[in-house]
Amino acid sequence: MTELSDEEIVNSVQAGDTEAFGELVARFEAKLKRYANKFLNTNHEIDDLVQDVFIKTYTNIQAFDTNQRFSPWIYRIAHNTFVNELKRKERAGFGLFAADTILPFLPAKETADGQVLTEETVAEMDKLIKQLPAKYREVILLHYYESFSYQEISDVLQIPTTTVGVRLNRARTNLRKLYQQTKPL
Amino acid sequence: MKNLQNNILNKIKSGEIDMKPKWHFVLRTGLLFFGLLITVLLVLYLISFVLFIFHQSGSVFAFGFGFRGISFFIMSSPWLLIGTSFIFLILLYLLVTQYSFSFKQPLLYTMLSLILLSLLGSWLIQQTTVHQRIGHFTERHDVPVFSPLYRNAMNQRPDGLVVGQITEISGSDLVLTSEQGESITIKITEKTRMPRETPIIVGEYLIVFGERDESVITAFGIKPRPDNFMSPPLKISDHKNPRASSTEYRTPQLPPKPIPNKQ
Repeated sequence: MTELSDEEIVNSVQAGDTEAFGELVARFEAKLKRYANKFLNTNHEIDDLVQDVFIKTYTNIQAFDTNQRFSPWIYRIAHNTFVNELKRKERAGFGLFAADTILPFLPAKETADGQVLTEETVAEMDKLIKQLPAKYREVILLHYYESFSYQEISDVLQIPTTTVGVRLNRARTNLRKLYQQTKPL
Repeated sequence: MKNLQNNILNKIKSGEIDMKPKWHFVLRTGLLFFGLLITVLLVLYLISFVLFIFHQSGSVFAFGFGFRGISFFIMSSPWLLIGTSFIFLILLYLLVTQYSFSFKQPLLYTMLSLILLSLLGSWLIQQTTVHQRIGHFTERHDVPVFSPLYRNAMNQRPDGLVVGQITEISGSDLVLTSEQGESITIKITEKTRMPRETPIIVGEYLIVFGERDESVITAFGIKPRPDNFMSPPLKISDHKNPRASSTEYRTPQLPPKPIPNKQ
């Protein structure tokens, strides 16, 4: 028997099968907790925040179009929840008009840096990623940890795909600098 | 792991958390679209009305007279309307950003596209007779707010701008009969920018910019009235107008523009 897709499960929930929502929780709980942990740089209150994400997801599930992918949609809710949490705790620089969403200055391009990231130990990278500014940290997490495409990250963060590319480039540059500081050649 | 799952399912079953119905989102989408539509119409109406005022008043012709002309244009612009248009343009931008297509490209492009499309749409509307018709309708039916707004826009010139016909040339001064039938002396100074092509002759129609002191205007710029620039319609029922006899509109009863003789 083939496993139901996320979208098929959402369809069941929308039709009134509340038990099916439990399956969605099971599928996304670990991923969202990992995302929250790395994005917020804390283990504190992670359970409450992720529960809040699922409650919002259930409350608004009728707004989801099952022709779209569910994963970016729930990550969008998670992103908003976590950003609000960051804003509550600190001034994280998430303005209405982030300069690089108004006009990205650098073209987005893939470089060999991607190789560097996969070759490094995960633990070491985790430490470095936590030192990045939040707006760079989130694109790294979504792209490399959650395997989201530029388009999906654009949907989650509601920023232009060119801005996603620019932020990834800058995040990788920052990571390289941080890496060189810890391990000078 | 099971804890969170059970916790949420228990909350759902106990009714502690509830799913918003589909119609809630359909209604929200409908209201958003309706709000967007109304805002688009308001922006187009307001900007085209501002362009209409520029055209009706003749203040755009001040651009030909250097810094003084530009200052005159700026000072005589309807800033309250321009400000209101700007506020609605910002509201339009905020509503557009609720749609996912708005962030597919840099936000600057979205902003610029909205501004350019609004200006283009408004300019196209201004090319039609929509505002004249609204003006005539509101005047006939005495619509609150709109009637005085259109009356001012259609019948009033900015202070310091006079359109009329030359009736006398006296030394360096000109005497002009304005659209309202008023006799105005035009003082020409060294700084007055005059028409280059042909000399001013009696009977010619002119647009004069300057500083007005009752029936004397010290001109900083004079230009022949372009053929496509119509004088604003005067309300015949206006008691200040001696020709008042009916409530209809008609263009000023001035003689036709003479063809200037080349000397």
